[in-house]
Amino acid sequence: MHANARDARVERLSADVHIDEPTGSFNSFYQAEYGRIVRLLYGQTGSWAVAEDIAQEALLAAHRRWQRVENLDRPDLWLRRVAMNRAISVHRRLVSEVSAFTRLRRLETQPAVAVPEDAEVWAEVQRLPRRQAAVVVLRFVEGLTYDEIGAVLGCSAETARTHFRRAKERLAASKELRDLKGADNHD
Amino acid sequence: MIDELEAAGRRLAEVPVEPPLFRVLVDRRRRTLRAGLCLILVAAGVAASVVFFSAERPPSMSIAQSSNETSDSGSTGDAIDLVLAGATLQLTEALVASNSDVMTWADAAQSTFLSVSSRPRLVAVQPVPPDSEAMTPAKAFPSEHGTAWFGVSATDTSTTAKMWWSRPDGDVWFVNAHWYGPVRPGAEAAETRTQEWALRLSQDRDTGTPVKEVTFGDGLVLIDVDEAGELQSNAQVWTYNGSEITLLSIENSVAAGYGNVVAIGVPSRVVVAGSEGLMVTAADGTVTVGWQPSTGPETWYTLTIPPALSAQKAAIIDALIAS
Repeated sequence: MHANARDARVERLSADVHIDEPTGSFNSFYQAEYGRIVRLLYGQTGSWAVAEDIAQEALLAAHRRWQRVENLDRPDLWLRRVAMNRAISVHRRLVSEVSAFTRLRRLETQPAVAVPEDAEVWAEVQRLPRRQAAVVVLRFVEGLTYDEIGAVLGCSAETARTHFRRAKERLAASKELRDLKGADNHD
Repeated sequence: MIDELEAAGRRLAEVPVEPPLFRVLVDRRRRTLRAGLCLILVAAGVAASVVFFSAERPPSMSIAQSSNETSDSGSTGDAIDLVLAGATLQLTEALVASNSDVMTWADAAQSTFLSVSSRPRLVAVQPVPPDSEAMTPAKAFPSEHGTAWFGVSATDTSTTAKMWWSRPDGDVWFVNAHWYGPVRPGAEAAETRTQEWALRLSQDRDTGTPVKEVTFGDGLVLIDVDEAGELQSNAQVWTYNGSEITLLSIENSVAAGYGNVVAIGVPSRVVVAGSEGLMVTAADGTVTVGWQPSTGPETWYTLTIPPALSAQKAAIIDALIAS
């Protein structure tokens, strides 16, 4: 009885994923956006595997809703919003679930680092509050305007600008601290 | 730093990324989905033997009791669905849970709890508690047993004692004791009793006493024992009225799960998906519900309801269906 219920569940869940070949417009969107979203999420999560995972989830969500999404003014910003929300959600949940006896991590297939010499820079970004980190990667990896960043994060351009300013202040303070420690070690 | 970021952003933007064929991506997702469910099936075939401290399943446990009575070899843990109008499953993902060795006891009135977690060989790298400012060296701890620190806190409804024990064998024991209800020890008594319990457990282990036979003289009954390891875990996230409801399952993690729930606050009993569980409301309004399904393997489920949905907790809990 349990097995039957599970089989039905598998079928039900599998049926949620359409397996049609993508239409022409979605295929163009997919080809154009996949790499950009992966890079963006890498800057935010620090893991290529996690970035690909979330990017694929977001693109599958876009595919399921493509008739609606393609008629949006900026489908690309919608996709970034879905992806960034998912990245923030994953991070928040994993942090909140760390407990005294149990630690959780995602299943990662490959601990890839995109650009090894920049690993420390992105690690600093990942230590920022998540909204600030999101603004930084949208700005520096994607080159988005504050209006566009606001559209992605669901806030005003002014709020996005404030996040960015605070992020810059934190990063500068962090760098000063690192430089000081480096000087101490050197002495 | 900004210059570095600009340069790093440019370099990252130049990293070539080849998108997988979309059909392959979809197929991979489907296999992942099936693999996740198959893992549960495979895990169900493994008998849930308890090895830490030569423990055997206790003859009488509170919420875990029915598992022994009704579980059948080869069955699986219950899959849980949230059948609630307006709730949308946002995410299902496999995780890895890294558990410590954990033992948890509770009294029949569910007012006193004890959890002991063992961290092998931790003394070499962490001989004192990392939050040593919040803990003080034990006042009268026998030096031949190592070194211990205590942190005792109390509210109007609870007293909690935390003990960090750096042992001569190189292990660290982390001991949590919680008292809820009108009759609670004062700070000094809480520290004394926790120390006595920890030493009793240690002495009984040295003499080979099975952990289920350890008695503390306070009506404490063993809930369960978890063995350290990397455990299969699964998280489901639903959105409902703009907030996220999270359900986390971890296999072979009843003692840790139970201990984590009762560490949050005053627990009350609740029925979840046909099984008996515990419900706790934290100071910020977050509701946490923990339970072990009455059938299937040793899986501990933790449901987290955010403060914004706490008024609807009964409806949400009722909507959890074991399938």
